[in-house]
Amino acid sequence: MTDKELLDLYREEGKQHYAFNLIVKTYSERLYWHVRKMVASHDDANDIVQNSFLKAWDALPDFREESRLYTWLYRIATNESLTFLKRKKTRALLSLTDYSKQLENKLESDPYFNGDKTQMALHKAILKLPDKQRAVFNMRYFEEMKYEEISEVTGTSVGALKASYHHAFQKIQQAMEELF
Amino acid sequence: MENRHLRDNPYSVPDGYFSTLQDSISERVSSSKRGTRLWNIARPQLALVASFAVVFLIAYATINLFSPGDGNGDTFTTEEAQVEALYVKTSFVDFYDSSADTLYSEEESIDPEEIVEYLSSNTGIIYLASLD
Repeated sequence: MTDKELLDLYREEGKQHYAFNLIVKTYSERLYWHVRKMVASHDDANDIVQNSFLKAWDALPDFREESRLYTWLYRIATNESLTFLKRKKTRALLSLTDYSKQLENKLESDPYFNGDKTQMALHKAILKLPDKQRAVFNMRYFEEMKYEEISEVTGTSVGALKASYHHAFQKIQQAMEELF
Repeated sequence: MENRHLRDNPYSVPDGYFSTLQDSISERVSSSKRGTRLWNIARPQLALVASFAVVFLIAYATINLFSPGDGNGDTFTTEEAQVEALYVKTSFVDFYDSSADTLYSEEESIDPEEIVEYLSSNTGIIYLASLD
């Protein structure tokens, strides 16, 4: 089903829950992976994705289709992830610990990380990026989204996104070269 | 970095996780009370109040536009205010203005003979002697 068909179904009388469940079925997996790469932990990603869909459910009556449904959902999930990370960083700051180090440790001890040594190094380097830059890098590198789509998600210009991705790519490449 | 293998997803999830996730979301959505948020409750009432305000403003502007005015724009002057303004203007005396003093003394100069005549007709001789 296309986004338009899903939204048309949602607007039919008495079909809201059914249509929303279809939206969840269509996008939950994709959004989960996007969030998981942002926060590393499965449990945190699970909470963030659930909260994102609840927010989407609350906001869907006001959705005016100025952006595509899936970029709108991505925006909600990305913002939820960024808010989550900001909160965690503030707590880490208060307890005088380094949150990016905590993320690295989580990755190392994660039973649901099956990557090899190179992939581990890559994902550790990605977790060291600033949060917004990481979101942009992940959407471009792993999900191969177009800059225009990422622009819809982040509300940033295509030019700024290209520069952000370029910087992130260089930083990660340098980190990988130092290791191997 | 250009190696396709690096773009593969190294993360995994517990078995059957995604169907559990969808069920959890569906359950939470069903139990959530979307309509009870303050904004959702207040929105229809606020819309009604706003529409009344718009109608009132249009009516007020129309009445104001077509009602006969006094030609003074947004200022108005009463008779009392005019009198008060005149009083303020004329009763002001600049005590530091020496030229004003000169002007008054020239206008109201009195002949010394008139003073003596006035005093002699109105005061006793004893009082006049005491002035020396």
